[in-house]
Amino acid sequence: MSDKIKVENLSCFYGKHRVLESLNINVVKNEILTIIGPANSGKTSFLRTLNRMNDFNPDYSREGAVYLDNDNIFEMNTEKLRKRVGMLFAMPIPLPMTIYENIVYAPKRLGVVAGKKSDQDAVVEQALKDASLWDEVKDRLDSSAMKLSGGQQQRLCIARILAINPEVILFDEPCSGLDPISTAKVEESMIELKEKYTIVLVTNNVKQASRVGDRTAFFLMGKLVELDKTGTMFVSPKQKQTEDYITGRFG
Amino acid sequence: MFRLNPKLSQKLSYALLFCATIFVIIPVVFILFIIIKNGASAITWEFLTSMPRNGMRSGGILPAILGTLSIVSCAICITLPIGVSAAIYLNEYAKDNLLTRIIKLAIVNLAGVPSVVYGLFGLGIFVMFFKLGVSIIAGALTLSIMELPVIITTARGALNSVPYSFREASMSLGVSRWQTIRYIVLPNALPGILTGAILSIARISGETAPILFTAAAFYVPHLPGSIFDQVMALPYHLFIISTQIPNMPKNIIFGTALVLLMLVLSMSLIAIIARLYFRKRRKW
Repeated sequence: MSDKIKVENLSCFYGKHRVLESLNINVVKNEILTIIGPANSGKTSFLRTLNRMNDFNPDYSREGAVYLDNDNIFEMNTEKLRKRVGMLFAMPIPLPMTIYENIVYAPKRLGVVAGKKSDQDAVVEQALKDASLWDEVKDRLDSSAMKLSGGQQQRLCIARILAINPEVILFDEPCSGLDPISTAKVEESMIELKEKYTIVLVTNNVKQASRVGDRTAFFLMGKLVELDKTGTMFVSPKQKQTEDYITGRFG
Repeated sequence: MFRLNPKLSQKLSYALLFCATIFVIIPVVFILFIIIKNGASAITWEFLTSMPRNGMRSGGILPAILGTLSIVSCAICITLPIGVSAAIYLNEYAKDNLLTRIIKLAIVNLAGVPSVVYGLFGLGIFVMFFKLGVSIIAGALTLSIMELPVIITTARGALNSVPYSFREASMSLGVSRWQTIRYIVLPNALPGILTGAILSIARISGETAPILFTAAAFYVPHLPGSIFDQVMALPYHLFIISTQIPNMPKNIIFGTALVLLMLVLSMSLIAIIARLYFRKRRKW
């Protein structure tokens, strides 16, 4: 098994405040790595570092290196990096256009799909099918994406990422605003997606981590406390802090 | 000290606030009433479409209408692209440093400079230094510089109203910042930008001081032919016929005022309708 992402001595700061401390972690190809931990433990900061969305924050700075297939992401062109490493946000953010346009938007702008209508139709259909949304929306592709339910919007956002055919997908608490049934659907598609993609999932829901994660990392106060196979960690955590957190004694 | 009971003080404050609102409306209604009462009789097809005659005491005001329209349309063509570009830069690209803060401060303060100062500035720079003469283009440039801060401010407001999350979602897909602006931010900010532009047109249509030295003429016997012509303009024409010409028929003065007023009001009306239309179509 090869490493898709390798993080070496990564530290992140907002102003002078350190949110991540000398982090060393790897993400294996075609796995789901889940990251759990209480609020302010640096989970989201870590995730947003992986596709450099934090670069937009002027207070943000970092040290260390992150390698994606042996290339340092901090030396890459950010647009090319984000095409390879897609990100799903906590709240679904459909763009203010139709369902169809939402999917073809990025492929068109990145020049991944040609201008031909039939090519675009194929991209839209494939992406929506892979995100298991096709059956629900195939009759109303030209209606506004804003009119979908929260769960459908979140799966639309997944489809939008799939349409640009990334290598890694980052999920930032993707189910925090969803009901249990929508959550189950999103989790189901995540498990299907790991066949083709490498997934990093940040979640506040410890049970979700145990359901979908291949390996789980526990972050606390900007430090990696424990990293292990999900089955192992939830049965016999090595650290006392991990045990306290996953059994709900704090956090 | 006496105290009002809560119910009475509630009624009293309601009455005071209501009176204040009525007080705002009274002058507007009064102005409209007087202008329409005195000027409506002058408004005929001939008045709107013919040249002034008999030392402007009869005939029409066509050259003044056309003059104002050409100056204003020229001005907005100059100021809108520059203003919107500057707003995009300030809102989407500029880092928050000293220079940016100074520019923002300058824009706010430029909006407060008296319009006659812009008039003198235009006379010095465009009419004399660039030798454009007293002409449509000199007046339009002066007006466009005067209106630039307003356009920038309204356009920045419109850009700001597009949620930041849209930009983030777009850029997280690997779409570049400029493409995000071009395909996500601008289309959604356009209604606000357009409304601001229309209201600016309404505002500069009525300006007298900036065109006084730069574009307007007392009387021009022909219609404007090129942007280097001197023209008559409605606000300046109104000033002349109400102060400089003896035995001026009253209904022509008020008729001219009515035409100017209608021009400005119809612009505002278009802006209101456009805003309602776009608000209904807005998808978020």
